[in-house]
Amino acid sequence: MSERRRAAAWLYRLGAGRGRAAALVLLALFLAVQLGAGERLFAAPRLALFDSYERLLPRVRKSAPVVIVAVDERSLARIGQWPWPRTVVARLVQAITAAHPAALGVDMLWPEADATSPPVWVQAQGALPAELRDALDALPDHDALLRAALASGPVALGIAGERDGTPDHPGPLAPVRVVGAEPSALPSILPAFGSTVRSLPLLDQAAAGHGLLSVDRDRDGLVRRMPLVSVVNGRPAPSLGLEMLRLATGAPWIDLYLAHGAAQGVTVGQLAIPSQAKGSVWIDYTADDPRRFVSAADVLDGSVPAGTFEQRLVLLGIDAAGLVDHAITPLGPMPGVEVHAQFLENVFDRRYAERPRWAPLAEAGLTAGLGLLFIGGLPLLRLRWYAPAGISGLGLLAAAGALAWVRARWLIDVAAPAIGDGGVLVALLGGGLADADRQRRRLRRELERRKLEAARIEGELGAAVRIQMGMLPKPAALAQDSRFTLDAAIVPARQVGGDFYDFFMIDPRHLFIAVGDVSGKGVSASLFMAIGKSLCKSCALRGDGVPDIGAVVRRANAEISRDNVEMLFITLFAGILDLASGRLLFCNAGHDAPLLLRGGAVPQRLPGGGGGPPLCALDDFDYPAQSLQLARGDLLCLVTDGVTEAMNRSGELLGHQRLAAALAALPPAAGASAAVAQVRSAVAAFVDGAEPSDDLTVLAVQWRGADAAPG
Amino acid sequence: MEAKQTRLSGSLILRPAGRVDMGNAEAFKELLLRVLAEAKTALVLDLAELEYISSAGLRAIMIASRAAKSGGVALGVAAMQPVVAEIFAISRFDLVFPCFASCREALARLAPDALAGFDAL
Repeated sequence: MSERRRAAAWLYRLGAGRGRAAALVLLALFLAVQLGAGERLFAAPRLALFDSYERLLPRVRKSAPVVIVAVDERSLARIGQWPWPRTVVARLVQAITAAHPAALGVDMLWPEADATSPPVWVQAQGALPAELRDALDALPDHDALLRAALASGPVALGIAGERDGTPDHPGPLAPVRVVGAEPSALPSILPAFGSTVRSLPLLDQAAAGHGLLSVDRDRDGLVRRMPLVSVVNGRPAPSLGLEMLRLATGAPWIDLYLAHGAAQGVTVGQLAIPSQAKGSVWIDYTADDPRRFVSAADVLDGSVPAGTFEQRLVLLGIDAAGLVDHAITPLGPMPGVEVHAQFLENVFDRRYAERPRWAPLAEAGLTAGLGLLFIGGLPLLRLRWYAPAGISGLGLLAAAGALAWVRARWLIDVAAPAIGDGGVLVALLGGGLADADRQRRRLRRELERRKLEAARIEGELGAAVRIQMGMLPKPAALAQDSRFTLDAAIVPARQVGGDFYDFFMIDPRHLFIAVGDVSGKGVSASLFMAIGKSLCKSCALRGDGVPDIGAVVRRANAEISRDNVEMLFITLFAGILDLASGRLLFCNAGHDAPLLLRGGAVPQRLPGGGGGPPLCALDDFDYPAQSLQLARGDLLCLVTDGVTEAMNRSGELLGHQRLAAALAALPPAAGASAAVAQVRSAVAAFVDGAEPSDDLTVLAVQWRGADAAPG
Repeated sequence: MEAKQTRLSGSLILRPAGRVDMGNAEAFKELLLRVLAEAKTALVLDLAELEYISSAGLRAIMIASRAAKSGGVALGVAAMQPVVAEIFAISRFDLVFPCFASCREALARLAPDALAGFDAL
């Protein structure tokens, strides 16, 4: 790759390529949505995330400042069905207040008079014997008994807030001082109730405190937050837990702090409780815990250990199947009264779950930070690392969220950043995949082009081989001459090579034969072969009469050497056979010496030496002619090194000895064709299917005598 | 194919081992030309460890020999094994390159001043 293209590729990697542009746009859009409407849009995943924090990493219950006296199954079995006569309830309240609790919160409502109270019962009966009526009238009123019990200690009575409904009697409410805003601003900040359901005024007025039983229910019905102060008929009213704290601390009032149109928190005496903007507190739950509960039956029996209620916050509530109103919390359903207990435990541990004011900004920051990291970093990686790296990034996000929860009880919503940055990841992955696809298609096109190119070259080479083969003379052309037999064959290797043979009559008496081999392979070798063969022939036919074979080779050498830029060379054996005398004049330019088959004797190679180097090796070498007298029936076999260096599968070369042995096996009267066929089959048997690496050329000529009979 | 080089003052001895054939002839040619570029007086090819050389290998030596000639460096071939010697004899390349029985003999003829260094090895 050139420098410029490398630089361009880097710019592309750093710049808009690989899905970066799309990812950046996506990130910007998501940030706008997250900052603009994220609180509402991502509420569901956020709450699911916070619920999972609560479930997986719940609060550990350290202190036990709260005891719940529960009207449970056992109590119902002992006392009888609910509602109990208020005399029993009065006894229960009395038993608790007598044990000096810090405060007693009553999670019950008695809006109607006790129907079992004698005066009420008498009223309901109509006509009764005067004696009975007087006796009953003398009995104490149940509600009066309960009233006395409620007044006997720091008791806070529950109030139920109703969004709409008939307003109940306007009973007393705890004093709440609003600091930092006009009380008229309260309904726009705090949860507001149009009406309340309260206990009988008789009871209501007896109690020292009054607190709302209502909890914050989210759209999905789960209770996650406890409102500290709500608005009832325009007046601020504390929750039951907060009111119990006021009674316990002996504070005359509760201070509610507001600023910038949002609640900041409350103080009760020395105690400060920070709140969310709408005046509520995230409840940091522990699982439903039976150790918080004491059975009302045991309290009535007096079998509760002494000191159980001493200086503790006591809640009175119902926990019996069919009667209890369960609150659904992130940790599962639990009795409503236990939600108030959990809130009070949070206050005592001074550890509040909190969604900090700065959380939305921090979350947008997380989205932007990780998103930009993805956009900047991922495209520098290989595509297959996108998903692992991206998921690691999102994992870090999740870990950061969990850490904030564990260390500071901060509710940081990493779900929204995960959604946004997950989208960025997908966009980058999509871009990367599209990129890879484009690249793959480009490579495929390139490959296609190269294949076509290769096919074209192959075709041209095939044509070269065909032309080369076409240049070779056909042995059949001389088959009519009875003075000699001659045959020749070239088996071309897969790659085009530079072997050739040639034969022709110089005049009716003289036969020219030649076998040559151009060093090297490929188109240059085959072209060189064509030039070499033509030059040899033209040199042999130049002038009148029978030329000197040495001079023919000298001329051919000089002419071929002139234009030999590739520095190829040609080994050549050329000879002129006098068909009348059997005398062969020949010149060997670096070629393998031919084998002579004479009268059934072992084939002999003509002695080496006396020739010269291959054509083109030395420009002006003085090639000498040599002479050999053939006898009738003598056969000369010429081969190129494609024969002697044919390689079998174990890497052995055929060699001269195997070649000689193969020819020795010929019958005594065999002609040139049999010799050529024998050589070819010997090579084929030896290589046994191994791919030939070189052309294989064999030429055989047999002198049968000047007067040999045809056939 | 491995080849050991010995540097003597202005001359080099290259000792290729194994086979040179179609498959590695091109690499052999490159090696020869590279080594030749460092030689000032003579390059001696010590063929004592060369087992076989094909015509493509001979061509590589021929090309190197031409380059040597034009650069004024003498190129000699020495210490051929019988098989390689026969190849040289058949192809008559023994007429193209000066061939010597040993490296010492080659240096004595082609680069006498390197002889002392050779003997000191």
